[in-house]
Amino acid sequence: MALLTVENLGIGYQTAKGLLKAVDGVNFTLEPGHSLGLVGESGCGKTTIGMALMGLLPPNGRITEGRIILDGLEISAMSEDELRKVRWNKVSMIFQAAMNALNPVKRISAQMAEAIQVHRPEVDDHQAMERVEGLFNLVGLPLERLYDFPHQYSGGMKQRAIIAMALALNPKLVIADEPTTALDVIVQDQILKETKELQRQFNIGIIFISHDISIVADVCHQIGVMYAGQLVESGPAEEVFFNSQHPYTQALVRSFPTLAGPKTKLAPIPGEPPNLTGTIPGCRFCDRCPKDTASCKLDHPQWRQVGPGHHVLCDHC
Amino acid sequence: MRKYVLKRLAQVMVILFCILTILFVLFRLAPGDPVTRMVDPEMTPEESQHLIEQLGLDKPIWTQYLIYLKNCSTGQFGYSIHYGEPVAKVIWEKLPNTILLFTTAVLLSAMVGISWGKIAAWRKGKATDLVLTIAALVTHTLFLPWLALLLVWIFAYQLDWFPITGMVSDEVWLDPTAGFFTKAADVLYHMVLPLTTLFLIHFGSYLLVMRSSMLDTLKEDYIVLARAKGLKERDIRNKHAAPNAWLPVVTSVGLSLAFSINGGALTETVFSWPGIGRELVFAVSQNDYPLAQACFMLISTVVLMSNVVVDVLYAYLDPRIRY
Amino acid sequence: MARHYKFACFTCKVVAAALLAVVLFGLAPASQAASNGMLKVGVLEEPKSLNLWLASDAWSNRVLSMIYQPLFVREPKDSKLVPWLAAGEPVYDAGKMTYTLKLRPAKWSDGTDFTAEDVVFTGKIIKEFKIPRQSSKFSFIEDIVAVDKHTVRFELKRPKAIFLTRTLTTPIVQKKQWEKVVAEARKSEKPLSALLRQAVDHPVGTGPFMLAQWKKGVFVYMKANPYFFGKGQVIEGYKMGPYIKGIIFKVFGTADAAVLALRKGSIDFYWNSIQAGYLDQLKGDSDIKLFVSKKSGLYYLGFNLRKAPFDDMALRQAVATIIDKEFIIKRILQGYGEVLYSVIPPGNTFYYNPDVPKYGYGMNHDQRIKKAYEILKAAGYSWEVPPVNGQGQVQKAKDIRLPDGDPMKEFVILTPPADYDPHRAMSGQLIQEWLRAMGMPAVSRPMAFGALIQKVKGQHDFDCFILGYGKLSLDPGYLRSFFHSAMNKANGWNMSGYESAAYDALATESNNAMDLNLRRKMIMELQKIVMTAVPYIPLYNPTIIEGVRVDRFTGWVQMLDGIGNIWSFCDIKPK
Repeated sequence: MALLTVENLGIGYQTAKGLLKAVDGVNFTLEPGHSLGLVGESGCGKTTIGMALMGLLPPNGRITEGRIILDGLEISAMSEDELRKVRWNKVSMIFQAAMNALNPVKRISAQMAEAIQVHRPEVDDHQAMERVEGLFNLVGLPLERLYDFPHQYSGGMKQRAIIAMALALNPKLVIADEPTTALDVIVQDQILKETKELQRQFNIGIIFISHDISIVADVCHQIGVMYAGQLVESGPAEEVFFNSQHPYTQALVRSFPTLAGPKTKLAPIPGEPPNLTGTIPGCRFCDRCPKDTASCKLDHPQWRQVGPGHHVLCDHC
Repeated sequence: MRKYVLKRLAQVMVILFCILTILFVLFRLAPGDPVTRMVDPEMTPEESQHLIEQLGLDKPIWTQYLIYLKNCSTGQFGYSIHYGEPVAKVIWEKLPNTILLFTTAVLLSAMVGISWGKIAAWRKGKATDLVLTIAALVTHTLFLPWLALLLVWIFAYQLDWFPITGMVSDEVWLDPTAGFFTKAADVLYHMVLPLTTLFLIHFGSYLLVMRSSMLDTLKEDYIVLARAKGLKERDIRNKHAAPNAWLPVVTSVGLSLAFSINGGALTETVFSWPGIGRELVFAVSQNDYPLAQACFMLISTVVLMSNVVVDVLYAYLDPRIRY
Repeated sequence: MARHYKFACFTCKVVAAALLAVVLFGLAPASQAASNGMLKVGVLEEPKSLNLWLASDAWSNRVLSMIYQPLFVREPKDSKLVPWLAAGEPVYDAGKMTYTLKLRPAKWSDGTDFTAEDVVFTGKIIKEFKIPRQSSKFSFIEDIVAVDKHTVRFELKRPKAIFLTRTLTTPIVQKKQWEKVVAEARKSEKPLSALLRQAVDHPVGTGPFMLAQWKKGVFVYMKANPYFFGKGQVIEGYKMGPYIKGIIFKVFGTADAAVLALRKGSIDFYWNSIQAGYLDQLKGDSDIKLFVSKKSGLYYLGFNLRKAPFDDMALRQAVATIIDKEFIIKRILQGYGEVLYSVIPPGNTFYYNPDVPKYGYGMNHDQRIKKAYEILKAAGYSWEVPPVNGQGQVQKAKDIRLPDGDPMKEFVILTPPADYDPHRAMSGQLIQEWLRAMGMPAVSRPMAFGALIQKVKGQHDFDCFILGYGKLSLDPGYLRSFFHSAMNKANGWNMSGYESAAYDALATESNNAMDLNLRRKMIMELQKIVMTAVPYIPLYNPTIIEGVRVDRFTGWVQMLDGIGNIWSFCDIKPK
C-alpha cells in the first residue's frame, strides 16, 4: 500500500478578488521510504500542497476537491483535533532554518522535547531529554549546545536541529520545504547527503519541496514538476531531469547551474505565470511556451505517459 | 551583565546630577519666590526681607547651589518652606499612598489588558476582538476627571456602595478595636473606585499594544512550526506567541510603572487621595523650591531606574539580548 | 475555542471576587458609635503645619484657631472686640503709656495653668525672632511685664491704634511647650528659620478643642478640650460648650466631592464658600441649610501711578466711571457679592465710609460712556473717533490720544489665571471690553499668580492689575500700608505707587490714634482721599455661602466671614 495518495487535489484561497485556485487536479502517490521532489517557481502551489498534507492551510485556504490519504487515514476529511494527533506523529516537516522557524526565546532542547511530550504524554522530562540527546547525535550536533538558544546556532546547525526535530517521533512522512535554500553550498551539500542517509536509515517517505530542480534530482527518487497549480510532469528523477519532456521542465533544467556536468549558459524563463483567480480553458504554460499552437489555448491538455512511470501534461510532447 | 548594570547605574548617576542642576536653575529662573508669593497684607516688607534672609534665599546663587547639593547628598533635600519639615519626611508620608494606588492600577490594567489583548489578537476580526478593541479605544479616550466624577456620582452617591473619595474612613481608624485587617480592608474599599477609573483608562493601551504585538508574532514561522508539531492552540498562544509578543509590552509596562510614581495630580485630586502628585503641584505653585525639586528628582530617579530595569528584564525575556 | 477564555475568565473572576469581598467588608456596619457626637467638617486641604508661627494658609488656620486663643476676639453681632482670654477691658495709663490687663483663670489643654508668663513669653518671642505677620504688632511695644499670675502690663514706646485690634488678638502659646524649642532655635545661625522648622506634633492650646489624631492627608481629629476656659460660662450671651465630642476635619480634593459628601451626610459642614453653580442642587435638599454671609474682602483694579498715562487722576476716574460693577456681580459672581465703592468694605461697619465719590453710580452703559468722555475731554484727551458723536449719541470710539497729542500705547491688565480665580480673570476681560469702547487699547492678560505678584509687587513692572484679599483684617491699618509713600518700594504694599504727603501724614496719625472715634474720622477721611485719587478701583466683595446639614447638629452662629467661627463650634449642639 502506498504511504501517501493524493487524488485529484484542488486547493483554493478565498481572496478579495475571488477564489484563487492554488492547486488544481493534482494526483500522485508515494511509497514508504521513497522520496518525491516537488519543484516549480514560487506561487506554483508546491508549498500549499505541503501545508495541506499537514492540515495546516491558512484560515482562508481550503481543499476544494480531491482527497489526501496518508497511511490509510484521510487527512483531507479530519477534524482539527484529529489532525493535531497526526501532525508530527505521522507526518512532520522540515522548515527552512533562515525563516525563523525556531522560537527565538525558547531553548533548542526545550523546543524539541516539547514536540515529543505533546504526543507522548507518558514520556517524562528526563526521558524526553535522552531522546533529544539521541537526536542531536543523529544529526551531528554537539551535545554541549543542547541548551543554547536559536540565535547562538549557525545556519547549518539550525537546519540540523530542525531536521532532528522532524525526526523526533519517527514519522512515516517528512515534508521538507526548501530545507537548504539559505545555506551556503558546502553546508547545503552536507545536509542533503545526511538527509538522504537518514531517510534510507529510517525508511522515511519524503516530500521535498524546492525551486531548484537540480537539487531535487540529486536527492529524490521521483520528481513532480508543478506549474500554476498543476502537476505538469512527473516521473523517476533521472528521467525527468535528463529526459524532460514538458517545455517548462526543460526551461527549469536550463535555468539552474549543476555542480557536476558541462558548463552551460543559464537561461531564465521569460514571462509570468498566469493569474489563478479565474478559469483557464487551455494549457496554463502556453503564454511562455516556445512550442505553443492555437489549440493549446482552447483545450485542457491531457495527462500522457511518455516513458515508464514518466507522465507529462502536454498535448505536444 | 554585572558590568553592564554597573555602567548603566553610573550613567544614571551622571544624568541625575545634571537633572539636579537643571532643576535648580529652572526654579530660580521661574518668576516669583516663596516669600513674595505670600500675599498677606499683615506681612511687612521688613518681615519678608528677614524671612528671605532666614531661608537663605538672599545668598549668592552659587552658595545656594552648594547648599542645595549638600542637602541633596544627605537624602533629606533640605526643609520644605511651607511644611517646615524635612522634604524627605513630607515625601515619605505621601509616597506610599501613591505607590499603593498607582502601582496596583498599572499592574491590574497591565495584567488584564495584556491577557485580553492576547485573546483579541487570537480571535482577530471576530466579535470578541471587535468588542474588546472598541472597548479599549473608547475607555482609553475618556477624560479622567469626568469618568471619575461619574463613577463617584453613581456608585458612591446614588447607590451608596462606596465612600465619596478619600483613602480611609475616620470611623474605622478612630475605632480602637479596629485591627490591621479591618484597616487594610477599609483602604481597599476606598481604592475600588479610583482603581476602577484608572483601570478603565489604562487597560486599553496595554490591550492594544499586546494585540498588535501578538498579531505580528502570529505571522512568524515558529508559530506555524508549533502548530505543525501538533501543539494545542492554547499552548501555541501562551507558550510560543505570548513570550515573544511580551517584549515590546514590557517596555510599555515598565515605563508606565515609572510614571505611576508621580501618579497624576488629577486622579489624586478628584479622589481626594493623599499622594505625591498633589504635593508636586502644590510645591510648584507655591514656589516651595526644596519640595518641588525633590519631587522632580524622585520622579527622574524612578524613570531612569525603571529604564535600567526594563533593559535588564529584556535581557532575561529575550535571550538574543546580552550585555 | 472555549478554552481560550479560561485564563482571561480566571483573571476576571479573581478581580471580581476581590472587589466583592471588599464591598462586603466595607458595607459591614461601620462602627458608628465612635463618631457619635462628632462634627464632621469637609475641607479642601489639610493643615500644612501645626507650628503656629509657620502656618500661614487658611486651611492650617481653620485647625489652629480651635487650639490657640487670643486675649480678645470679635463677637458675632457687630464684630466688636470682646475679652476672651482676657478678663476685661485693658486699663490705659496715658502718662506711662501702659496697658494693664487682667487674665481669665484658664488652663492649657495639658492641665497646667494659663498665666501672665505665657502672654509675656508669646510677645517676647514674636519680637525676638521677628516672626512674620506678627512682629509688626509688637514693634511699638517696649516691654511686657507679668505683674502677677493673672495680670499683664504692656509698655508702649508710642501710641498705636492697632494695639487693641491687632496686638491683643494675637494667639497666645504656652511657655512650657515652647521654651525648649526657643532655646534650641536661639542657638541656631538662623534662629527664625530654626523656629519655623520646629515640628509641633502636639500643640497645647487653651481653645475649645485639642488635637487627638492626625492621619496625614486624610483627616484631623480634634476632641473637646476638657480644660477649655469658656466651658459653661456665658460670653456675649452665648453659653459656651463645646457640646460636641469632637471635630473631624476630612480632606476632599475637590469641591465636587465635598458637596456630594455634604449631601450624602458624610460631612455635616463644608467649611469653604460654595460656588454658585452648586446652589441649585443644594437648595432642593431639605437636609441642608445654606448660610449667606458677608465677607471682609476687597477685590480691585490697581493702576501703576509711576507711569503715564496712569499718573493722570482724570484718566483713573474715567476708568472708574466706565466699569459697571453691578454688571460684574450679576454676570460673573451670579449675584453673590456686593459692589464696592471704597477700599474698606461695607461689612466693616465701624470704619466704612459710605460717603466717598461713587463713580458711575446708578448709570447705564451709555451714561457711563458719556460721563467718562466728559472727564477725559476736559482733561485734554482727544480721539480719532470719539465715543460720543456730535449729536450726543454713543458710538464705537477709536484711538484715544493723550493730552500731549500722542496716541495712547497699548496697556495690559494683569489678572490671576482662570484656574486660580475665574472671577478676576473674567472681570479683566469685561473691563478690557469697556475700555476698548472708549478707544483705549487695553489688553487683559492672565498670568501665573507667583509671576504676577513678582511683577506687580516686586518689580513694579506693570500697567494695571486685578488682585484681591479674601479676608481683610477689620482693623483699617492696611490703608496706610496700601497707599503710604513709605511703602512704595520693591515688595512694599503700596503697589500702585500712590504718593501724597497729606495722605501720608493722616494715615500715620490714624495709626497712632488711640481714640477710636477720632481714628474713625481719620479713616473716613483717608477713604475719601483715596477714592478721589483712585489708585485702586474697588470692584466687588463676594458673599460667602456655606452649607450645613441640619439633621445632626444645630446652633450655628453667623457672623462676618461666615459660620465657620469659634462661636459656632462652641455653641452647636447635637440634635
